[in-house]
Amino acid sequence: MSLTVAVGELTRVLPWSLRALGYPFGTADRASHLIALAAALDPFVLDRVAVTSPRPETGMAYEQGPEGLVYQAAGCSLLEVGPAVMDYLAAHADGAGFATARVVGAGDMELLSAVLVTGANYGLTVIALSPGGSGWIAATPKDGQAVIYSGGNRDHIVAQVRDRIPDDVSKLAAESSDLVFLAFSGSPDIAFNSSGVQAAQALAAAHANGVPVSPETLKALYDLETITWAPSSERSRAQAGFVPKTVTA
Amino acid sequence: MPNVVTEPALPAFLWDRLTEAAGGEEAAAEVRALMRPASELMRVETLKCFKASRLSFADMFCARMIGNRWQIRLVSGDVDDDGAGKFVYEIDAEGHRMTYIARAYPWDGVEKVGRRADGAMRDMFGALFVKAADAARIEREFATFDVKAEGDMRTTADVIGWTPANRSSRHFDAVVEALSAGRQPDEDLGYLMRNGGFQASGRNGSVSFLGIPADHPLSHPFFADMFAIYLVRVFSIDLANAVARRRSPTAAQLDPAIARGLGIGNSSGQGMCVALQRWPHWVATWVLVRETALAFAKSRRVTGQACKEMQNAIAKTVEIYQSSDPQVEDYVVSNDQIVANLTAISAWIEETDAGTWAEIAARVAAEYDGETREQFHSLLLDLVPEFCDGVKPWFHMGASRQRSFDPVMTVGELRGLLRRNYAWALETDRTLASSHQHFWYHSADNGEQRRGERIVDPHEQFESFIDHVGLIQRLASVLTAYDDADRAGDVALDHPDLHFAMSRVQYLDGLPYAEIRDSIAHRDFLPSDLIRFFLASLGIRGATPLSIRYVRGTFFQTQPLPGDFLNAAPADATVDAPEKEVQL
Repeated sequence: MSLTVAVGELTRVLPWSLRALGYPFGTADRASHLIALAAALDPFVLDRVAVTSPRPETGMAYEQGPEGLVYQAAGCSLLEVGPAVMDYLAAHADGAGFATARVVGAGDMELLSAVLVTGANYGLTVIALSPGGSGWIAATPKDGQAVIYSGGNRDHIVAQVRDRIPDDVSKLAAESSDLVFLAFSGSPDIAFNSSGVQAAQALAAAHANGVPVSPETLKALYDLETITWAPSSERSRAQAGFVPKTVTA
Repeated sequence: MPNVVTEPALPAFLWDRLTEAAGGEEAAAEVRALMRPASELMRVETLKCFKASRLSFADMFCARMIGNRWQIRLVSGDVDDDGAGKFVYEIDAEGHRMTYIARAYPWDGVEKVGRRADGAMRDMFGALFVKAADAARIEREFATFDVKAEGDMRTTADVIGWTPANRSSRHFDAVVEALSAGRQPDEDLGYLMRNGGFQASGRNGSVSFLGIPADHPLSHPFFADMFAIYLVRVFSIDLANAVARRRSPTAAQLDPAIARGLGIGNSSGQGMCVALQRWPHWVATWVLVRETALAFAKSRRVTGQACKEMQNAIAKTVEIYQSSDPQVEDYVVSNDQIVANLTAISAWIEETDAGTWAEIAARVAAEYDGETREQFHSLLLDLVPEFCDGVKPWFHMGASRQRSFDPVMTVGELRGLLRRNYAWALETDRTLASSHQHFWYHSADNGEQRRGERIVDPHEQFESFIDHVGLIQRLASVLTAYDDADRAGDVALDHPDLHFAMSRVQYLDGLPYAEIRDSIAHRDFLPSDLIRFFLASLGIRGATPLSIRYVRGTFFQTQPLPGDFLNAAPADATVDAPEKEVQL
């Protein structure tokens, strides 16, 4: 019998595991859903999350310039940076029809597909150009559901959107070795030339069947959670409030 | 800041049911006006008084199980001399076959209440499967139970959940001794086993709630929980009979009339307060359905027949209060007082010349305490059973609402939501530490939820979310640094942790009764108050606090046994019909 972890279990345990790594409650809670989706798309993600680094306390910075948002992640995980950038892109693509962001030095790139689904669920088509490589991943809304595409030819995908984006962004998209997001309102006509993955279907399957996980990874996630548990003591046990003497049953 | 008193419109589904039942929109609007404002209803002082009713989950579940004549068959169940054994049940429910298994362990002499801190040390473990399980799968699950080590026990998504439970040694032994001696027990015992906390919704690898097929009868909120506890009740009776048989070949078997009076004991702790804060749309759903049905009942004319029905309902309720032993009544109106009040109300009804039930309810509210008032309200629902059946689907529909975030919303609009829906939170004075003195935390004792004091107790940095007033005030404070035209997405970029606060404010907008309007972190808040509200919503009658942090009660006492279902009236086919669901 292979070991599985439930989606409901991930969204219950991971907020605590991530808080143990220094992520604030609101960030960790949101990230637990992001990771659960990412694991539904690719269970290997959990192995990475189980060994992810603590949240850096300093170094993160960002600025908005002519080429859009530039986010220096300083090693902070995509579990925090990714959704925040999607929020920014949704806020700024509205009206303009397009927004872009460049992220430098983010960790846990395995979460990228799920991050893009966040954007697609806002009604955006978001293309992520992989850092240091020629690949790309995109998510787009289709019939109200996010569909994920990926490919290995960055030039092909950039060429299709070149006339919809400013020249300096086009140049950045073609040449940058950082993680670059191109976000478009709605579902522009882009030939992704790959079979798409329905995020909602993957998540539904994970809800019904669980997500395969190794015993070591599952233990690591739970071990992180227990860091947030306060040591027991006589005072603590009294704070549970149970009063045995009144139970005569 | 002016208080905004306009109440949100009812969701379309409920408005449509109300319009149909009341006979038009004008009449429906008059009923809507009878619904209490959130400023009154969503106070802890009111919620703590709620009583179980036909719109509680246990009652709704039983109505469905009995009405649809679910079949629960004991396939095998043997015990050893020490009382250990394995039981297998087969269930047919509305075209779905399920398996339930139960593993009883030898009695170790340790009375256990069912706390999370007990870990794997329980007197029994059961597993409810999504479908029928074959023999090999059943044996694997039994082997898992026998590991008896928290953290090492894992199941898979073909299991809905586990039912740990513990014997009430005094009750259980009394029943077994009597049966072994060939006679029925003398005492009115209440229950044989205590619920140890249904471990489901993904716990231990069980199927996530959203993974239960939509057409499955347990895909309804809390129906799996209720069925699991009901099955423990069935098992507790079968186990007592089996142990008695093992002890003596001439043992008697428990008289169904006595067995029917046995429920499942339950003690609930402070974790329930955290759940209510985490899932505010659940609270909104429960309160909204009840208040809508209550307003409709209040709008009905007082007739001779309805008076008789109410008096009969009061008489039955008085019996329940008189037969229960609350042990502690420090934090509640005493049973004797409620009985006296209900008896007086019954006498009024005998002579009333009131036009509508709203007039009688107003008199009850004016003359008696909140607990009597809410008990009377719960009984009023019995006067409009068809309307209750009509609005019940909203329990499923309302609970399926998803927290979502709109990053495009302007800060000005966000501020508007705060002004409209959270004036009560923004006006809360937080200058004194007592206003947020407590925090909830998980303890190293298997993660049990406990309540500590800030500064004094450790691990405040890992507190469970409970302080919604603080959350809203922080959001409002941060928003002052932004222009009205800025977007929520800009705020989330600067403060990723505030996504939780902003999405909460956004997704609850437009829901009547969305938030509990008191500080749960306040020094003077009693956790038992909201535990009682939760338990009343689940369907426990006579829940009484053992302390300010623990509340006890009994599930399913006097409810039919599986053998009774064969003679049940057919269920209302409209109940929970999936086609009535709407996209939220």
